[in-house]
Amino acid sequence: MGAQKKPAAAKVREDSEDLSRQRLQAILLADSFTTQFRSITLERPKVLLPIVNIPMIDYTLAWLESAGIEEVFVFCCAHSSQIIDYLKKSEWYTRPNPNLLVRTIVSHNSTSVGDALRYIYEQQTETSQIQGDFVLVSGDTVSNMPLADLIQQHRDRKKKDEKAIMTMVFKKQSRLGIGSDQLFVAVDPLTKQLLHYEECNSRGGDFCLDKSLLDSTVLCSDMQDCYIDICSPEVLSLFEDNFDYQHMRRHFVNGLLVDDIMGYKIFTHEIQSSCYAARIDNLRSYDTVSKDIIQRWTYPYVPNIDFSGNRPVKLGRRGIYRASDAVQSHTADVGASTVIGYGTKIGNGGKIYNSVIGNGCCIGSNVVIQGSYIWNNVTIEDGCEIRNAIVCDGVKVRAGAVLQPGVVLSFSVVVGRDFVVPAYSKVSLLQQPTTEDSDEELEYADSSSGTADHSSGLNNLQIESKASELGPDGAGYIWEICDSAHDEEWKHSVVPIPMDKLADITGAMDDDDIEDDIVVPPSGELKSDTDIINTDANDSYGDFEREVEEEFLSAVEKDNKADIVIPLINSHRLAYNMDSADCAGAVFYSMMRLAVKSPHNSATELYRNAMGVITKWKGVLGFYLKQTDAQIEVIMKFEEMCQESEELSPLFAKLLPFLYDKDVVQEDAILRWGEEKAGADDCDKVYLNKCESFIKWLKEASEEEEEDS
Amino acid sequence: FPAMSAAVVAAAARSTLRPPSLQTLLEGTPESATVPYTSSSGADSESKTADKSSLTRKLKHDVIEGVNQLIQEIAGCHEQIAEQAIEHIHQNEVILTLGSSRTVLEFLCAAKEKKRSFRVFVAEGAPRYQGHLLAKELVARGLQTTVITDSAVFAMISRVNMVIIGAHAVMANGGVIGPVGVNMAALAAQKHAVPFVVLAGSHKLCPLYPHNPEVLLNELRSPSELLDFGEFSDCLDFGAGSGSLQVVNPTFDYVPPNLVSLFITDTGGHNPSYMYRLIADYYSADDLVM
Repeated sequence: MGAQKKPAAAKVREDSEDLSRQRLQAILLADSFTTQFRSITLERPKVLLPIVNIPMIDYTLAWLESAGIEEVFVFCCAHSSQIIDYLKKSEWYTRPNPNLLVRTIVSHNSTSVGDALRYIYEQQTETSQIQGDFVLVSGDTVSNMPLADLIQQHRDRKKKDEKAIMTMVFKKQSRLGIGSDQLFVAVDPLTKQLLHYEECNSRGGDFCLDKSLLDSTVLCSDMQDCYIDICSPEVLSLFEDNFDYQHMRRHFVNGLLVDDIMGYKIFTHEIQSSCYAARIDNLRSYDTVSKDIIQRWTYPYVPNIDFSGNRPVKLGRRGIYRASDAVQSHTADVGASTVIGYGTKIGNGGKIYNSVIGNGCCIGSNVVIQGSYIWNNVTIEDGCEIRNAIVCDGVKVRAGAVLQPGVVLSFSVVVGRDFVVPAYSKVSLLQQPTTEDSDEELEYADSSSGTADHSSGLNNLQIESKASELGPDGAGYIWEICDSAHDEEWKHSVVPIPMDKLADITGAMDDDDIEDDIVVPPSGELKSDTDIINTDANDSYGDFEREVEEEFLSAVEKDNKADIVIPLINSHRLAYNMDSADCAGAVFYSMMRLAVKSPHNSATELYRNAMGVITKWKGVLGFYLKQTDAQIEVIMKFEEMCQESEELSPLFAKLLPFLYDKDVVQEDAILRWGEEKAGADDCDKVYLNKCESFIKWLKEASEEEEEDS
Repeated sequence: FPAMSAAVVAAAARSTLRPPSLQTLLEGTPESATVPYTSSSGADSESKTADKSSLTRKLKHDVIEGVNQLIQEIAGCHEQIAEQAIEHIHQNEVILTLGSSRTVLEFLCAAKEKKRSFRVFVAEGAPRYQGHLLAKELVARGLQTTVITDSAVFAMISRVNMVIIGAHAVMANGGVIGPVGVNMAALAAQKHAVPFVVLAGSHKLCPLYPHNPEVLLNELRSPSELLDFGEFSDCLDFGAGSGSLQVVNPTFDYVPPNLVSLFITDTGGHNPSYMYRLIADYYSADDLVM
């Protein structure tokens, strides 16, 4: 009896060890804390938006389930009630898998990943807590990669090295289709440790590496971050300690890489080419991932297989997925790579290519739908044209309307008869939120709109039949695109990249390819770490100029003396590492701007304003204009300003002598400027010509002086 | 005596002759109309609760019995098929097979045990290359094996005496669903009058008639088995504008019954045109529409 019991007891102990060792947990962030889908996510949380007719969170949960995860903590912030309702009604709660437990954690005032992780850390209780290593993913991840091996690898590595607290998953590809910035990553090829991580906004960015890292490093610029992390519990406590860590990559990863004291290490894992992982963080990746799902790269998470309780559609020839009860007219032409949902009717003569149509849609005759994503219960009347657009639930598109490429129509919008929605516009029944947060990118304007999310009021909203922005019987507001974002619209949209931009990018990429995967020799040919990161010179000058202008304007208000203003401007100069010529240019610019802004009715008044300003503040300007070079810089700056502004150009000829009179600018400078410009093209010489007489007079005056002395 | 429709009477008659289908047992609740026919007629006199418990006990018993029978069949079919190997494989023959099937492996090894000497050509079965695994196994058991590509099947078929493959499913009309590539081998075999033999346990029999089997009964897997995700990404990216590249990766192939010479099941060898008769033996009348 005793002998029998002993091995049984030993076995039980082993089992409990196994259990506690192997319980796999995951944190799923159901809030991306960004505003890429703003016009749509005001009303519905991003993780519930359908991609190929299935909400994004279902893909993530199904993948975690198949990867063997046993407990998932779904962190909800924006529109949390919608997410919780959806999960309760879905298969995850009604027919739960006994191996998978889905819990929700709700927070109302988290604004970033850092806040979310801190909240989760604080909310741990006896029963629901993060024990051991966990997987951190975002709710908009679509993947089919197996995780069990990776987690085991991470655990083994952690046993050997206590400081290896995170493993990041990267995918090697040179795809334009993700729409995010290019990534520079430096990895140690033997240990797979991450040494440097940088997101690059402009194509020509440089970055510097610590020389000590150069022993064996592989630099890659074609890696894509899947935002799938295997983390140890130390990650949570690190976030708790550093309460200013907000963004996972910009703050946390870069913080760890730079920090030498604690010595924590991050490792990387490159996904095998047979697996797929992608994150949908903007409209372009929405488009790319939809196409990947339709082409079955994400097998088995494809529309004709039932995972997570969705209704599978049948796959026919040429990659057309058609629901069994979809009604399609005989003359309708449904092209390749299209998905048609349940209960959808398609009328005569329609042409539908490369699109996804949701459930319960009603599409009229002679409709052209190309490269678009139509969600559920949409009515599209006869003769419409929809190209490369996203149309959300409940939208009505009246007869003859045209949606140009890049349009995003949010929920329940009505587009009027024969109305042409301009390209790249975002249309919603809700007004565009006026408060634009610059630093923090939030998925909701403020917490109050979060609680008003379910918007029962919105569903009962009387569709205004009077003339609105969308044609005679339309309803909705077209959101304005702010100027800075306008040029970038093509980047983040479902429209295929225009040919000219494509040529630019592939041209630049070919150059980059030559520099890929350089293994740097130990002799260290890269710049030393004393160099400051050299960002684009123009950007920083622009910032500097703005700061100087602010400084100047506040000085004007307070009516400070020159000797108070000068040290303030000097501090900015040191911060931006500018020289005095730049300072002078900036100060002059601010002065002229002030003159232009002061009320004036005619050119003469403007002239008088300018004179007044210059007289008053010539002390400040003079401080920086001790050298001739600086003075030439000022003249050229003035020229630039006149070119930009219509009002100032006639003043150039008059102000230059004035500046000379006030001893702001010496004649040497003016003459040298004249000489330099003499060799330039005619268009540049406009202002030179205007001042010709003055310069001639100067020359004669200088000759006279020479003759005298 | 409640009036009963003709269909119900016919169903009753059928079910008394054959055992109830497992699916009907599992779907039917004790209150449904079909179950009283299977239980004893003395149920009326018993109380309702005792009635229900005895019905559920009988139901449980029937289900467990059915499942055990299935398990036994599946476990035993390899042996029973392998016993027939000696009748079909003769001395100094050349056998062609495609992909990897455990039934085929056991079949060939049984013939080897009985001292027949023969050679095996294994077509590798792209893109999953299961043929490589089969070849390793055969060599381990002492058979002379050659691995060839799928595209070389037509070239080699003239030197082959018999083609033997395993099946994923056998349809009611005698058609075969097998690993992708078997249709090509069957067509090549027909061209050179080589016997095409399919080994299938009786549990692989399916009562469906195949309509459009290449699409409806097939499973298209991820293109990552053919192409790396990063390659060709420029062709795959753009939509209707510049013709996009589509990658189709089917898992199964359909072989029509006229190309199959012989089915070897655990009950013996059969013609393809005979297979529909076996369905009635293995499927309850409730489960099929004939």
